[in-house]
Amino acid sequence: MSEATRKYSQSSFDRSATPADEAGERLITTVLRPLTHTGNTYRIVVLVLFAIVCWGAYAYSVQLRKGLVVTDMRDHIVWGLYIANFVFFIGISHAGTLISAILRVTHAEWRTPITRMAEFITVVALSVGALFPLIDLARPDRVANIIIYGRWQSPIVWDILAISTYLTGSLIYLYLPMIPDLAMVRDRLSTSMSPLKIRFYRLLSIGWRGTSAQERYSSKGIGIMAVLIIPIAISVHTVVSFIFAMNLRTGWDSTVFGIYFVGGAIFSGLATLILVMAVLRRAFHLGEYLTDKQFLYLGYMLGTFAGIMIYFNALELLVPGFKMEGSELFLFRQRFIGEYAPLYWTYLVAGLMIPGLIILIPRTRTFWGIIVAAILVNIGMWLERFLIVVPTLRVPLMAHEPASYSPTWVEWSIMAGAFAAFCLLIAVFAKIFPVLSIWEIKEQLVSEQSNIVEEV
Amino acid sequence: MNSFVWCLKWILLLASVAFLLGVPGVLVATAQGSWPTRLTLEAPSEASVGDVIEITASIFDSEGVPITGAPTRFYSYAAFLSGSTGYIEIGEAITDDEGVAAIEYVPTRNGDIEVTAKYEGDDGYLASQGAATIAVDGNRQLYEAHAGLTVPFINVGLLIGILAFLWGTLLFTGILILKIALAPPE
Repeated sequence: MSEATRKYSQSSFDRSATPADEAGERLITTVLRPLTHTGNTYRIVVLVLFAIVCWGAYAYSVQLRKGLVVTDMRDHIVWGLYIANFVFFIGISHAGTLISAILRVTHAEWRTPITRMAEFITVVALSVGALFPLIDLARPDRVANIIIYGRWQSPIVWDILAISTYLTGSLIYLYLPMIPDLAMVRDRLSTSMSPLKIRFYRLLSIGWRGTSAQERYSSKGIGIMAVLIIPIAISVHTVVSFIFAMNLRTGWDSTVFGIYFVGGAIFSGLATLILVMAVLRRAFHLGEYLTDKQFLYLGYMLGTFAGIMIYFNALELLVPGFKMEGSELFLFRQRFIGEYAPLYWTYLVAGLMIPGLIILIPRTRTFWGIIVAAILVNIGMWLERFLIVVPTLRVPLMAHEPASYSPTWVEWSIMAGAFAAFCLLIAVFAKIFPVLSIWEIKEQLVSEQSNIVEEV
Repeated sequence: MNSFVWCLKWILLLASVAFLLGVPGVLVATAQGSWPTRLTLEAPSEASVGDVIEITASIFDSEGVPITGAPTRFYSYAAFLSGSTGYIEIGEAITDDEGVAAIEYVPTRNGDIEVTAKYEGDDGYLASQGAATIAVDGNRQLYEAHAGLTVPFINVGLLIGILAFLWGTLLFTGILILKIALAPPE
């Protein structure tokens, strides 16, 4: 064993009797356990999710064979569930990287157990969300034409550039802080894994030994990415809003759509992060690290964004509603008292106000209260995405009857497949990679112990 | 006296009928003369998309005398996406003292373009027409948008610059990962 390797092993896994080391050892055992043990419940969940993904794939094959006529999208309502889901998934991708980066940059110590999950949600949500514009194409074989014949002036091209940059950045930002943990898996579990797995972890850990040079490069890279990813993430959802806001259609022609979309993205991203954390805490017994404190702080952020979203919605309603120009009246009527009133009121009341109240009232500001708020926020934000797309397209631009849209089984099935794929990828990730950033939590434990010793 | 009134009535009646039937006919009918004319169309045999080319039509009577002040229309033959075909007017000119009418034409598609000039005739001359074919090559993009304001530095170059910075930084981080892999043991 080389000197450097010995130093790394001692610093990371020394079984000396200090409380921090004992806690660290317990942490490693808890976090690495899912990588070697698989329960029946996990197998059943994965099987069910895989079946739903297959059903979605079958529905898509039907659409590929028969064309978009199997959906209910026609010449007036040309976007439906697919684009609503695209915006929703890109939105929840802000859970991760952006929230994680902001917390890292501000040195919020309570963030350490949640950063890994948050970053992975970003990568998975982006990957699933980016599929929807392709699914929405009648001829996906021509997708390369967007690049070949695309124009720099087109918001669609901006979307492609922003999403591909964000996905690349998020992958780097997920991978870079994970390298020391991958090395730990390589060293710790080499006796209990198959040769293929050992080779896999050896490859991904790129020879990490914890030398001072490696730590310097890693720290520099993480620092750069944490700063860089924030403007990239903000730009992504701003650009997603441009596919709507860059045209003159009533309901989309808005100057605040960029910040409105970014706010909504962080809001739904926080809600998704809370739910994923709750599920993984339960499934992998991570209660010691994902404490109520983390849920409470994320709940505070959720409550703050509920207030911000209420403010944005008030702006979006008051300014055009005061002028009530052209077909705004039609749009307002169908939202408030017409065909889409039930969905719209559900969004406003259950998606924004009730979650805000749950966080605001101390009695309901509990773990379960925050979970309920997060579920309501996700439902509300999905409805909001749908309501941005469909009722707006329903506003007649010429003297004809308003079109109708009711998604077909193909559209619902593909949507179900996408949600199942999102859950499945997270489940698989949790079996392959450590879901908590072990080295960061360990550093925090050591730091906390040093503080206690100094105080004593 | 009666016969005079009877004759007058008939004259008035016939005059009215002649007015109702004949006068509008005179107004509507094209006054076309009997002198034959000859139209010679000249156009370059080859051109490229976007070139400005001159097409001239020379009109003479049967004795070779140039016809001056003759309105001449120019057309090109086109096929549309719907499958229909027909002539599109591409210009109009009046012949000068030498009997020549000229227009400038910019071909917007490649292939063989059939150009036709028509003189409709007048009181003294009969109608005539001529045709020519131009072989057009090239596929230059002719449409250029000039909407909005041009502000220095706020253009596509700025977008490319931002992208270059972002991807450059991502690449730099990738190099850091590579350095981690290649770092020597202590």
